[in-house]
Formats: sequence, C-alpha cells, structure tokens
Amino acid sequence: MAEVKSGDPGVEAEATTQQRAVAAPKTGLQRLVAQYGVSYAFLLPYMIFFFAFLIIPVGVAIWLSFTYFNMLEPPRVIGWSNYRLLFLEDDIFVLSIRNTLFFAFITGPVSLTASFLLAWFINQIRVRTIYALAFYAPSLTSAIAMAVVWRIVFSGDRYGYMNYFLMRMGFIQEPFLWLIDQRTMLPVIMFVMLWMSMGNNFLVFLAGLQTVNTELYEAGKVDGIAHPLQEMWYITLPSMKPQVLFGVINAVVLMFSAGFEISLSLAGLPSPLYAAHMILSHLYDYAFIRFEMGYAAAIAVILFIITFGVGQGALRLLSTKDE
Amino acid sequence: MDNLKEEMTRLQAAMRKSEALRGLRRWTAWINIALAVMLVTISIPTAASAAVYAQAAQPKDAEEEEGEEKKGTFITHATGVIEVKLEPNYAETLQEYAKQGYEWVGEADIPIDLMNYTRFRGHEPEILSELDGRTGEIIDWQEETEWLEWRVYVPKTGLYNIEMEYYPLPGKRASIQRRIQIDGEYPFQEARRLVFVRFWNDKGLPTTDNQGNDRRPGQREEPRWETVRIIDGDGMYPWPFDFYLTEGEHVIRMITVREPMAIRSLRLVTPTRPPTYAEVLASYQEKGYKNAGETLIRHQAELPVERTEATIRMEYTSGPLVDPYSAGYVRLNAYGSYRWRRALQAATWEFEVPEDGLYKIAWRRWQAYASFLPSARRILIDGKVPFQELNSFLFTPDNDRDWRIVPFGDESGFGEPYLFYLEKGKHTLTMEVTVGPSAETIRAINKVVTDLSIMVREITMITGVNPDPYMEFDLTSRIPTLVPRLVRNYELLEEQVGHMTMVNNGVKPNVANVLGEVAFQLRDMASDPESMSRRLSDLSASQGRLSQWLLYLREHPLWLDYLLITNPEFELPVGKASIFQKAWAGFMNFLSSFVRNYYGVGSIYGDDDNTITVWVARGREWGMIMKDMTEDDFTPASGIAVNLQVFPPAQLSAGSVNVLLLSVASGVTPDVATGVLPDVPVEFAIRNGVANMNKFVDYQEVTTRFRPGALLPFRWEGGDYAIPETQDFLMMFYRTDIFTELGLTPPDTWQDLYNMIWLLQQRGMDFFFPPVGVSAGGGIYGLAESLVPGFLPFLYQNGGDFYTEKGLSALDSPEALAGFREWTELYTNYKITQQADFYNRMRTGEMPIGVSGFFTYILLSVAAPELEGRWEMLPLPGKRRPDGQVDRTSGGYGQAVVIMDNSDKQDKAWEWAKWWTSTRAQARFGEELEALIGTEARWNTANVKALNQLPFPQKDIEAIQEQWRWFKEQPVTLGGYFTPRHIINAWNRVVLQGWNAREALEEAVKQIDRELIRKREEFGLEVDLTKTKGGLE
Repeated sequence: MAEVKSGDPGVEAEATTQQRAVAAPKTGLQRLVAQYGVSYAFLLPYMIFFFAFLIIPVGVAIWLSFTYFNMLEPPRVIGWSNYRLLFLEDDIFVLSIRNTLFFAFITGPVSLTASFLLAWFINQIRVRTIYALAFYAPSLTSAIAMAVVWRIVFSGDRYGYMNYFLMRMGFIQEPFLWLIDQRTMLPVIMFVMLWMSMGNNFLVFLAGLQTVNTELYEAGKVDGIAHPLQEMWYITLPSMKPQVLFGVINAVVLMFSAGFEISLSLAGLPSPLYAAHMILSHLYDYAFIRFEMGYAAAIAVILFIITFGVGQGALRLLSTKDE
Repeated sequence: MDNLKEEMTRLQAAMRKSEALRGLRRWTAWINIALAVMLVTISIPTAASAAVYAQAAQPKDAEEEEGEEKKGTFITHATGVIEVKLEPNYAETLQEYAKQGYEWVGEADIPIDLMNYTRFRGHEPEILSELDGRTGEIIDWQEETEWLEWRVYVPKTGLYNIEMEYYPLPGKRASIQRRIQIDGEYPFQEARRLVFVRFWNDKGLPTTDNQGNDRRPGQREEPRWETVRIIDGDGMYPWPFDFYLTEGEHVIRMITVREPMAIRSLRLVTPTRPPTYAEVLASYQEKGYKNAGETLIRHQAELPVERTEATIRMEYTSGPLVDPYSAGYVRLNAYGSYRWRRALQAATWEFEVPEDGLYKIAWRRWQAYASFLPSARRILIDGKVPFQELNSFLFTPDNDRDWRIVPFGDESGFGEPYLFYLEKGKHTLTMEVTVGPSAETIRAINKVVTDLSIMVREITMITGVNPDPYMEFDLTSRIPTLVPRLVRNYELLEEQVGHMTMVNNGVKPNVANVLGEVAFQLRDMASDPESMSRRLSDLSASQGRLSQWLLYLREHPLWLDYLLITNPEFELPVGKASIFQKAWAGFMNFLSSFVRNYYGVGSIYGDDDNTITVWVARGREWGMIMKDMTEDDFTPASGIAVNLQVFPPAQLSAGSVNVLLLSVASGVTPDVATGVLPDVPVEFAIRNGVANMNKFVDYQEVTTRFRPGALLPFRWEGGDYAIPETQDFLMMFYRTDIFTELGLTPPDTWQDLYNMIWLLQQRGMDFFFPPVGVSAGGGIYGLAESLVPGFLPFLYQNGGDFYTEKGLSALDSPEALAGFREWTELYTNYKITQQADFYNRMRTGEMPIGVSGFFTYILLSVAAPELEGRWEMLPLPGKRRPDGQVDRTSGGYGQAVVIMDNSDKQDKAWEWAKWWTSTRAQARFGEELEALIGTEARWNTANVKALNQLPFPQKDIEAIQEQWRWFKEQPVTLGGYFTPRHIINAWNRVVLQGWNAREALEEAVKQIDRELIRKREEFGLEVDLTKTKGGLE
C-alpha cells in the first residue's frame, strides 16, 4: 500500500514538536530544544511507532472506507456509498452485529466473573503456581492451534469426543453436527472462547489478589465481617479496581476480535447459514473473498467505533467515583 | 469456607435424591428395552441374508476361467462372517515343511529350458541372442506378456531354491515385480510378490550452485546382469524361499505384475547357507591368515558405486564432525537417512586394500530414530554374505542420539570386532535393508490385527455399530470362540514383547510397550467378554495402533558418514562430537543464517531481461526438483534463466490473506506463480492481476494436453487465465475382501449404490460421501470446501449447470433441482453418515465403500499396509444414459499456473509455463518426485499423457483415465463464491432443518443471483435478467 509509505512518521512527529514550540512561551526554539530536547528524544521512539502502526493505519482505513478499492487496482473515492449500503441494505451485517454483541455480552462478563472467582479460589490454595499455569496455558496457545483440538471434540463424526460421549451416555442416538448445525455453532464457539479467555484475566486477578493489603482484612474482621464472601465483596473487590478495569478493557477487545478467529477455525468462513458470523468475519468476507476493500474498511471503522464505545462505557461504569 | 463446603454437600445430596432424576433413568431404561427388541428382530433377517450371499458367492468363484487367478478359499465363521483365506504364508509353510520332515535336496542344479516355454498369455516374448555382453538365448519379457509357463523334470524330491539371472530392461523406473506359481498354485502368499531390483548411480559428483550450496547430481539407471535366488520382496525372511518339489514333472509359471525384464537362466538349486563366524575364524587360523599391517582406509559413504533405488542418495547433515563439514552451507556429506529404510534398498561401496590379510571394518553412523528399534542390514563383501551373522546384521540405536564409529562385531559393545580376510586389490561392500528379527513380530501383529478386525465385524453384526450400552448381548454364547481367540491373541503379543526386548540388546523398545498395552487390554476383555460391546471402538483403536507399528517395524533407517577399513589392532576413535564442538557448530550456523538467502532455491540470478521469477506454493523438495529440471532442461534450450522461490502450500489461494494478493497490491510480483488454487485466476483476472493466456499463439495447442473440463475454472469472458498443473478428482474406493464376503459387486450407477446402501447399513456398515463445509482451508479431503465436491456430480449428471450463458445462476432449472434432490436424499432418505474419517473407517471396515479424492488414494497406498491388496479404486458411479453409456461426470480441484499481468516478460514466462506443463517435464517430475520422496509424494499431474507415463500401477491409471473422460469442473465467475456458500446453506436447511428441497434451492438461487447481479454491476457488465432455461415449474 503506497499510501502508507507516503506518510513519513518522522515528519509527523516533528510537526507535533513544532506545534508545541509555538504554544510554549516565546523563548525561541533553540532554548526549548536545549531545555526539553532530551525528553522529546525519549518520546520519539514511541511516537514513531505510535504513528506508524496506529494513527496512520487507522487514518488510511477511514480514508479507504470512502473509496472503492479491490486490492489489485488503485482506490477510487465514492463518498458515503459504502456506509449507506452497510446500514441500509446489508442484512448479513446486521446479523453479524447481533452475533458479535450476543457473543461479547455473554462471554465477556461470564469470562470476567469466572476468572475472578477462580483466581480468588486458587489464591486460598497453597500450591498456587501449578494451578496458575494450568489455567493460563490455554491463553498461551493460538486460537488456530487450539481449534484443532476443539474440532475433534465437536466433530460431527460418530467418533468425535462429544458425540461419542453423549451417544454412549444415551443422550443422543445419532451423531450431531455441532459445527455445521445452526443451533449449536455459536454456543460451541462461546464455550471455546470462555475456555481460552479465562487464563489472561485469571493471571491478572491472581496477581491483583496478592497486592491487597492484608491489614484491611484484619480491620474488616474488627468491623464485623464474618463470611469470606463478605470479605471478598467489601474488601477484596474494591482493592482490586485497577486489575478489574484492565480485565474489562482486555475482555472487550478480545471478545470483538478473538471470537472471529475461533469462529473461522471452527465453523469456517462464512459459517453455514451465517450462524456464527461475526463483524470481523463479515470484514474478511468482503476483503479477501469479494475483494471489496473499501467496504471492508467501512466495516472496520464501524467495528472500531463499537469497540471504542463499549470500552469507554465500561471504563466510565467502573471508574465513577474516585477518578 | 466451611460454610460453603457444607452448603455444597447438602446440595449434592439433594440432587442425588431428586425424584425427577430417577424418573428420567427409568424412562431411558424402557426406551432401551424397546430398542433392543427392535434390534434383535432386525438382526435375524440380516444374518439370514448374509448366509444366502455367502452361498451365492462360492460357486461363482469355482467356475472361474482357467488361467485366471484363484482367489483363495472362504472360511465361514459361526456368526456368518466370511474371511477370505489366501494360501498359507511362508512362515506357516516352513513349519509345515518341518512337520512333514521335508529336507533340502542334495547337490542339485537343474536348469529350466527357458526357450521351450510351454504356454504364455498376451504378447509372445521376443528372443534375444545377445544383451549387454552376455550371449545365449535371452527372453525379452515385456509387460504385455501376462505370464510364461515352463515344464521341468525334477529327478529328486526335496526343497529347492530358484535361481534366476535377469537384466532390468528400461521401463517406468520402478522395481520389477513378478509372481510365481508351481503346478497352478501359489505355494505360499509371498510368492505373489517377487521383487527384482534395478541398479542406479549418480551421474557424477555434486556440483555447486552460485550460493555455495551443493546440488545433487542427476540419477542414471545403470542396468547390469544379476543372479539372484528368489527371496521375499518385503525382506521378511532372511533366506531365499525353499520350494517343495516332488520327483516328476512340474509346471512353473511366472506372472507379470509390472516392468519389463530379460532373463537368461532359471534353475532349481540346492539351498545353501554361509558358515558361521566361529567357523570362518577357525578357517582363518587353519589357513594361517595374518593380521594386515598398519592400514587406515577412509571412504566417504555419500559416494557409493551402485544403489538399487534412486531414492536412497547422498544427504546433507550439519553435524560438527561429519566429513566433509558443511560450514553453514548445504554439503552432501552423508548417506542414507530416513529414505534408506525399506527392504531391498541396497547400496554398494568400492574400496581397495594394500595387502592380503585380516581387517576390521567400521562405519561412522547415526541410528537413533524415535521408534528406537535396531536397523537391520544384510552385509555382503564382494557380493557374498561372508558369514551368517552378517545376513541380518543389527545396527542398534544409540542412547546418546549421536554419531559414533562402531566396527562390525558384537553390537552390545563387549565382544571383539569381526575380522574380514581381504586379498590385495579392489573389493565391494554392499548393505541391503532387511527386516531381520522384527519380521517375527510383524507376522504376529499381522495375525492379531486380522483376527481383531474379524472379531470386530462379528461383534458389530450382533450389536450394531453403535451398541446400546444398557443391553446385554450374550456375546460369549453367540460367538463361542471369542474368549479363546482373545487369549490366543494376547499371548501372542506378550510373547513378542519379550522377543523385541531381547533383539534390542535388552532395552525395551517403544513398540514393546504398545504391544504390552494392547495385550493388557485384550486380557481385560477376555476376563469380561460382555464388556466388549461397549468397548468396540477401543478394539478398533488398538487395531489402528498395531497397524501403525506394522509400518514402523518394517522401516530400518540409517545414516552413514564414512567407512573405515583398518588393521585389527587399530584403535578406532569414538567419532562423537563434544558438547563444545556442537555448540560452536550451532553458533556458526546461526551466524551464517543472517547472510544466506533461504527462500530462493538453488542458484539465484540477478534481475535482468533474461531472468524470470517463479513462485512455487509447495515444499522445498518440490522446488528443488523443479529448479534442477529447469537448469538441466529448460535454461539450456531456451536461454532463459529462472529464479525459483518456494512458499508454504495454499499460500497462493483466494479467500485468505495471501502473498500473491499482497504482491499484486504492492506491485512486486513474480512472473509466474505455480501451485495456485483454482479460484485465484479468474478472481485476479477480473481485477487485471493475471495475464490472459489465449493471446499466445500456441495456447490452443497447449490446452490439448489437458482435459477440456479442467480448463473451465480458468475461463472468463473470453479469456483463459491459467493452465492446470495438478488435478484432483473424486474416485470410488471399496474393500474387495468385504465385498466378496457380502457377495456384492461394486456399483456402476447410483441406482446400484442405492440398492446396496441398506444392505451395508444392516450390517452396521455405511457408504461414505464427501461432506459439506467440513473445515477451513481445504480439509483432509484435499478438496476445497468452497467448491462443494459432492453436489457437482449430481448436478452435471442430471443435465444441470451452475450458470446460464448470461452469467446468472442456473440452479433454478428442473435438472438442477433433480440433482440437488438426489444429493440431499443421500442424507435424508438413505441416511448415510454426514461426517466421518473415511480413511480410518475404511481400514476398520466400517465403511467398505466410499467416494473420496486423490489424497485418500495416497493414504491407502502408503499408510495402510495391512490393507494391501484388499482395496481397489474405481471410477465414480454414474447415471446410465439412453445410449447405454454411464455418465460419470464429476469435477475435481487442481492447482494451476498463472502469469502475472504486470510482468514485462510474459513471453518468457509463457515459455516456461509451456515447458513445465509439457508431457516430458510432467512425467519426469512425477517420476523424480516419487523416486526421491516416495509414494506419499505421488504427483497427480493434469497432463493426460504424462499420467500414463507415471509409475502408478496400470490398473489405477486406467481407472483414473476412465474417470477423466468425464472430467468437468465448476466454472469460476464474478461473484461465483456465493454459489457454493448458498448450496451449503441449502443443504443445511434440507438435511438438518427439514426444509423442502425446492424451497431451499429457490432461496439459494435468489441469494446467488443477487450477488451475481451486484458484482456484474460493480464491473459494469451487462445484466440480463431473463433466464433462458426458465424457472422451476
């Protein structure tokens, strides 16, 4: 993409410095450099990467979303057309939003709560490291690699683990096509997602639990806290606010992106009857199957806004009083 | 915390008491009883019909025409399972000889009068008077001669060896195979597969490419006369076959399997054995042989003078002490590797000793493969086994997993090395792979596996494939032999655990553990035979594991670095690298990795007008052969240099982020890309990514190399954007043994198949058909899910088509609906399994017939040794047309060659593409690939003539050619990706949700048309909404 190359990150970074220079008291650029030069030099590497890998790509994506671009020929600006199509004519997109939100709003909170409870339980046990490792392991492996395992578990073959187990127990008589049947695709993906995402937050919570000031518990006992659950609710949880906040942001981002990876490797792209179609699946469908990059960019922009919005919402919800 | 625990236990107790739960249990029990009654009533007629079929099958076989092959006898088991029993194997025959007291005949050498063959079939062989330096009467035996028969008078009853003098005539470069019958019968099973090797050599020393890496020299066949005694082609027996012949006249018939050969003599001779080492040593003393004086001869293993297969060749390894040292480059500095593992693969080295005397011989070698089994070799000095110990010498695995220098001798390391008496002058040392003592274990496992598979089938006939876990089947009284057979099998396995441990110098190899586990499992089953109905899948799994080890036990890999011939007193070095040497070598390799170019294959040329760049989406080995062929053949003739770069397979496909797309987007494209998936050319062509090939003058001529149907996916709006390279295709596979047993013949039409499905299902078996939407990225069938392979035959055979001439969906025609109905009815009416691992089910016999792609063919040929000769590949069933022909139209997914549109050397690129898809290049590539990598790399070329020349069995080629007559692929069109997507959705609606086929298809057509129209509008193409064929009536 030639466009990316043209925006030289160094130039942009310099531009910022100059703006600041104008805003600063009129003591001359040279004095400013002499005074703050080192600070800016320290800032520079980050700024370069921040611009090169974040600001510029997002900017390019927003620009592309107003164009017709098929990857092989140069883009052509077509105005709001992509957005109009996206909202007014594309029912599959609406379906994908529904699936994604459904997926995110169930797996997100469940995963957070479960990993918190798990961390809390394990924190009481003596040999913590082994459990920590065991629970963290799924997050270490990539979604694609783990999908291989899950595909065998949920295989539609008579000898898939799930089918075999259920048939042996007498629950079902015929093998069930877990990953092809419209009814089970999304639940299976949600289940796998829960299993995978648990570890990340779990580790953060486990670390957080150990930072809680133990004096607070003693004080709590004096104040009449009798039950461990009360202890958790009134002392542990409030003390762990930073970790919870991190966990929530993490979960939001993960739910909107990782869900697609699992969906792709378990149900295929597109999934039968679009039953496990996520926003990202839709993006991929347009970008790499239909070669409509402009439209895909528009989807990306919408996804960006949704993720950003939900993230901000969660942030506001959790950081009301103190900050 | 305590409160919580209490709470939990209380809750659990409450759950256990729960009335509702108990009700549920009682309810399932009733259902189970009802089902059991149904099952029993069904199984009675099943058993009866099996018996009827068994009777029907028998007389038919006896009436066989004279001269045809006898199929063996049938043994009917109590439960109605019939086993096809071949003649006894050679091990059993030997036992029989011993029991009968047959002995080797005394001194005998009876020549068979070759010229006076009494009968033959097929083409009459020519007689030569001279061939490669030998004169006399020589039979030129081409493949067209089906068999030859001789009469010979045997003066004395006894056991004879058969000695043959042969010369490998030019053929398809595969080893020669014959069968032998005596008096109209195979004396034992192994007589059905006699193998005669060809002789190969490197064309010269390795050359160096411009990156400083060694290039492997080409292979040349160097045929010569060879005298052999007929021995097992699988290396399962250490000595030549003993044939029992009574006094009087006998008829010897040799039957062609493959490849031509010339024979000069055939004689019956006395079996002989070399002396033991003790005897040889005694004779040394007797003759007064002296130790040789100070000698140290070192010979590089990578330079043998002769090999029996082109696959075993010089290899590259980067070990620090390997001579010559690689120093970060590819140096062909060792010999053997994993390729050198199958029976009869032999290599010969030549060396010269300075004086007469006794020597010891040592190899620097590496033998530490994961199976941790000893590798057996037959060692011959000057073409003879010097003493019995070397007839199957075992290279035991090294515990340190390292190279070491070990002399021939006692491998446990305690004994003295063997001494060899060598006269002054040149000598040869030959090492040939044999199976050695593992052969006994292989035979035992084979027996167990066969027995288990019969047992599984017997039990499934009673219980069904998915037995009700609550049902008692009373297996012991229905199959009275069940327990004794289990006992016999686990005893056999336990015995082998001991045998393998003993052979491996007292170290228990991995295989012994597996045998032990299976034995334990069988023992457990024998103690509770009723549990077997629930453990059927365990039994099948054990069978699979054992079969896997059957493969490993036959494999005897070995690496060699160099040969040392020294005087007996010479102190041999250990030959192991120290940890510092290894660390240093590793570090140097790491450093050199920063400067070397890894994605280019072979020599890399600068970018000029005469150099084209070719991308290959295949493994490096593939790339290397392509590069070598290009340098040998293409560049000298055309003057065009080629840079070749390899990419991971499937990297050049549409539907995912791939390098080709990125290269086009960034403007840095190759000139040619190969191994491109079939949806790419048109998708890229629409957007001006790839070049139209029919602008080249000789395009039409080039296309005659392929099936016309194979070009369909690359054609769009009058342009042709690719030429096919490989071609996959659906074929029908079936188990011949099970079909004979059931008295069935493989179906020719779909109707035949439909009539058969219920018969199979009654016996708990099923038919396999490629499923829809299995997995992302092609799946295990080698067919892209996006092409819906299963629907295509039904659509085309019913006269339907995918698209109208106007570029809209043609799936709303009555023909398409009929095809769609037929396809979905397989699942709704006939209830065939929707998803299964066909290859494994075929092995267990649960799916004795199915339709699948080329990949299954390779799997069955390579990875299922226990099925050898028990399956066949046939063309797809079809529809009988009014003219009597069976229409077998089906598609298949192949890979293609494209020329990139923004290449400025398109003419040169076209020259290369033309050369690459030519019959000569394709046939040679297929041969070399199979020769270098093995059957697993069988090349499914799209070139029709080249396919005929590839070393596939003739029968398989014929089946493939018949199927190819009907080859027609699905076209790729603008927006065409919606077609498979919505066909899958329609399938889903019909099969899983019970929709009416017509409604589901109409819904699909609506969606497909919408996308097609949208896309056509996007590209400003004419949209004509009137359909020629009309809607559904």
